[in-house]
Amino acid sequence: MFDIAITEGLFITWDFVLLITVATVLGYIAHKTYQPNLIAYLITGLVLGPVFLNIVQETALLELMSELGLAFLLFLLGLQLKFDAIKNILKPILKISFWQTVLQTSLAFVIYYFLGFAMVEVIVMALCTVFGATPVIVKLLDEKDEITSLPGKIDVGVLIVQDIILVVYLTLFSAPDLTNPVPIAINFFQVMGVMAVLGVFSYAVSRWMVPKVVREVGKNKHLLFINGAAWAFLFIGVSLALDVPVEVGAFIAGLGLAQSPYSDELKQQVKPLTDFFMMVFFATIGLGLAPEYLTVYWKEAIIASSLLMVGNFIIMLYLIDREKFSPETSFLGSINMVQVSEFSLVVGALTVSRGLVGNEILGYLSLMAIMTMGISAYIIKYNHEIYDRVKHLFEFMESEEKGDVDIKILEDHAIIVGYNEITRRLVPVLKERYGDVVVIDKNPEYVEMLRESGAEFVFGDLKHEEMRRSIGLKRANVIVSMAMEDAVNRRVLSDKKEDAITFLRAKDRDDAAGLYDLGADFVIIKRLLSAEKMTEYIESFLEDPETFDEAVEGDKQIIDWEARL
Amino acid sequence: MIGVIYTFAAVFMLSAILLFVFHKLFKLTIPAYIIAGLIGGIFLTEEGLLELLQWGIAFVVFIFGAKLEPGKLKHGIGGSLLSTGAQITGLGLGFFGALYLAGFGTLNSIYISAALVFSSSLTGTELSEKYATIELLYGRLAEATDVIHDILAIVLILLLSPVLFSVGIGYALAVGGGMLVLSLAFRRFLFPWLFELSDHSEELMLLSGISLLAVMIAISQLAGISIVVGAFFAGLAFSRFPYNIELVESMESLKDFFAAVFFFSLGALVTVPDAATLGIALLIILVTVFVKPLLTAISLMHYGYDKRTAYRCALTLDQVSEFVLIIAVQAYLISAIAAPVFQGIILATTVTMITTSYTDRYSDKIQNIIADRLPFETPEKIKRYHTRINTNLKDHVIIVGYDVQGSRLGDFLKEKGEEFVVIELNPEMLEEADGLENCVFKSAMDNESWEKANYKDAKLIISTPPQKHVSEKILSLDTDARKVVRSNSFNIARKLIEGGADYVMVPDLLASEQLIDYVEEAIYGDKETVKRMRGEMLGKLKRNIDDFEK
Repeated sequence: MFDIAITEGLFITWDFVLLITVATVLGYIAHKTYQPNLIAYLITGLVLGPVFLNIVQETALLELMSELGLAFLLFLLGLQLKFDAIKNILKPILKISFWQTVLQTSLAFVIYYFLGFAMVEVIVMALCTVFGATPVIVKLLDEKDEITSLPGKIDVGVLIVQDIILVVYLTLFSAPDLTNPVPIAINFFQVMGVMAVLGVFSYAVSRWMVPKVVREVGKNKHLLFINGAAWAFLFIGVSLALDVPVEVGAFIAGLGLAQSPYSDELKQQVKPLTDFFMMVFFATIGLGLAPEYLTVYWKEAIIASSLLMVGNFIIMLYLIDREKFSPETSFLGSINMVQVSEFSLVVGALTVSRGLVGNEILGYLSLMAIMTMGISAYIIKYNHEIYDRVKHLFEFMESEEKGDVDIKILEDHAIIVGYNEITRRLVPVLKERYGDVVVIDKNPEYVEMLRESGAEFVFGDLKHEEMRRSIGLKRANVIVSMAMEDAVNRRVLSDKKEDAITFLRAKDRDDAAGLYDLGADFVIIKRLLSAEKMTEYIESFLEDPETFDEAVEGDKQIIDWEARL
Repeated sequence: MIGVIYTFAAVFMLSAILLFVFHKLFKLTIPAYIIAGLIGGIFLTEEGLLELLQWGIAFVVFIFGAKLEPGKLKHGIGGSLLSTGAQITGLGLGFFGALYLAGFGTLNSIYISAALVFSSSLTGTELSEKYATIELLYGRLAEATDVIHDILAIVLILLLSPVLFSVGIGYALAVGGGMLVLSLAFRRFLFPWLFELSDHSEELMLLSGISLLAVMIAISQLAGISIVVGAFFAGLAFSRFPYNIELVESMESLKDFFAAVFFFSLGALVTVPDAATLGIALLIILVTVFVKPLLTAISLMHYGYDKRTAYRCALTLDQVSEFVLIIAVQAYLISAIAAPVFQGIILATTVTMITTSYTDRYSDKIQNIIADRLPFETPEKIKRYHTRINTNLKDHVIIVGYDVQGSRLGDFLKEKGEEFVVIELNPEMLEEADGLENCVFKSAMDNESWEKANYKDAKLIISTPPQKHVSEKILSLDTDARKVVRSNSFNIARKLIEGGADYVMVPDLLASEQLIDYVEEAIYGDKETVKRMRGEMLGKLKRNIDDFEK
């Protein structure tokens, strides 16, 4: 049993209240200026910490949350890495990623060397600053609905490889003794061994066991979430026990699950919690920086940021172009990637805590993250406009043999929200008319069943914006929704394209009237529907009982057939 | 820090296993966490967990507030108020007096009595049955009661402020009132503005929600009252907001995380129970499972509700609310109540949540049994509905059940000038059916109902309740009338057809056929077709609303 020892530290403190409210206000400002939230969180820490006001201290609670934040960040990152998504461009992506890492690290190395940093610092910084920021790119591209476009896919693919490399760096820097290469190497191979074992375990379990578990619990999202968290903590615990960084364990836990069709919904569940912890994590980095750390290398930060942004763009452009994609794809794919990853701060914080580099390097990395992410947010927002302006400069890259692989984008399709006895019979009807039918449901049981019917099945909940985008709600021609939640149907109406036909289910007459007001074409109340059909039958009975018998004969056969299933 | 991570790993893994088991057995979550905590408490240290206990309280109560729907009070507020009044005077004050005289002390007695009065809306909604029956009278009564209980719990916390936090009662109520105003102002003005400002961004909505929660909790702490009050009003600011799904959705995943830690820690706070703990737990369990439903039912009957409705509603309220756990742990942590009282409440809550999953599952049967065996009746003079037969019923149609399906058929028969009689037990349905010439206000399981409906001379019997025993009863009637019954399962439907039904309505099948008719017409038609169909359906709906309001 626990003892009750209550101390002041227990309570939700003023420190926290200040932190969250300032982060919220800055979050809105960032949003309105098209900046990623990450920047708002970092600045929150800077504003409240010693750099400006110095009114919030790092408490044990904040420390715990930021620790959890990092673990969950990696778990979520792993969850997002679906190898399936980049299957058909895997080869070029591997080539691009490999050479990009080599070339950009070398470039960064040279730049830092000439800026006069010490050798250890040069190595740490060069390794830290070559990668793109997954949350920034994925989020911004997703908002622009470009994540499934070819440049988007190339970027995501490269980011997947980069993230895996970053996890390797994390393990490298957490080696017990960093002065001697032999123990580093031993540690590295040990960790790699553990990672491989965990990875195989994770994949095997998610392949064979997860579907069974999800079929039991998937209908209840609370259970799904707790099971997901338990899974993450299992790997975190094992990593701790085996002396592997917990982040690595969390990442592998996510990676294994990501390959199962159920990961999307879990991702949506884990995301808010991660967002929250991550806010604390990045704010804590800001809190930990003294003003002098920021000012030491501000000039170097500006010089290196500008050189690296341009240099990285050119390197990526060259590498993507070499794989014979069209100039537009090469341009967009590379210009999206010019910022420094948030992981530079994670790795930076780790190297500081290991005593490899001083806090001023972390300050430098923070400045660089803020600057490059800030600028690249605008670049990504206006990527097409920029390309149109400078298109003529890239004409020399055009050639006959270059071209883009086709990626299938759902368009003019039919969507069924909620798979049940009522909509099941609709699948063939809609398939015949529209070809593509996407069924989304919160119940994972239908994966197998629908695979046979030729419809695409998505396990998830339309309440999440990402889900609505991933099923192409905006491009569908007809949407049949069995969702009982009024708010979901309202979202369907606000997101759909203008002339899409909508059949939406309402739980009562009030909801129905509201949906019609918002422009729904047909609102279904299940009981009214069945009553209408039944009235038809009764009418036939009143005319002539014989006709009634004939009318219901078909139904009786269906009942008989269904009962035998 | 390392120890904390191990603890978290243990918390979530144990919880996941027990949740899995409890989900299969009872479809419950809270007892699963508490029992996981009981087990985990044996070998875990509290490092990190108790620190997050308050967060658990904050988020659980926030969601409570966010899901509060005062609109549910529209139906059945009178009956719910009366039965809550009976629970407060009979159970609350009664047991408070008895316990106080027995030497339990003021606060201990108050908390035990609170456990006797308050029932849980979260557990209620978790059990699937409740959702499905929302349209039924007893479901609405139960929901209204839940809302009243939630509000009363907050009032109780405010009233307890003087003893717990040594502030004046007027002051506490004033702070509570101020927070309510703040919450409503936020909801009315600031939130809609923020929602537009954020362009519906989930992350920003989440941050805004947590910010408001943090600020309200800070105000509570500053004012020296319970943080539950602040958390509740923070949640209330977002309740029933038409666009709050994103927010509630994302807050819910935070709640899930912290609630797991919270309920787990509660379980871990329980030791091997001694006689005092067991005694208190047993008292709460017995009263909650047996006395409280009976008292609730009798008071509802005295409001004029039919005895079946009354029992059925009472059976949804036979558990201790998790709200009581929240206020009890607060009191326990500042040593305001004794350990056996606190632990007794935790045990009793766990047990009653489990028993309630059974009474919920078998409520049909239990209600039938007790309604027949117990001598309590709705007093004749306040009975609201009576059987009436105005025509001489011959070659007529009998409709059993007058819900949406039944009333549509009734309307249709009326239109056609057909003679029909309705057998219905649910008073609220009959309220809608005021204009009926013939109706039998009695159970379809009762032979007398059929005699009154003159079933021998009927030409068609249509039964709309999905219960198998009703269908079987109809198939057993000796008459030449055609029999149409209903079932929600294809399996049972097939058996009923084999048992002699002329047709079995399976709503999913009927609805799906009708839907396919509509969809096919719409997708192969042009814009005009869609427009015309929409107009027709809208017309039908309007007619339905008119019926409803008539």
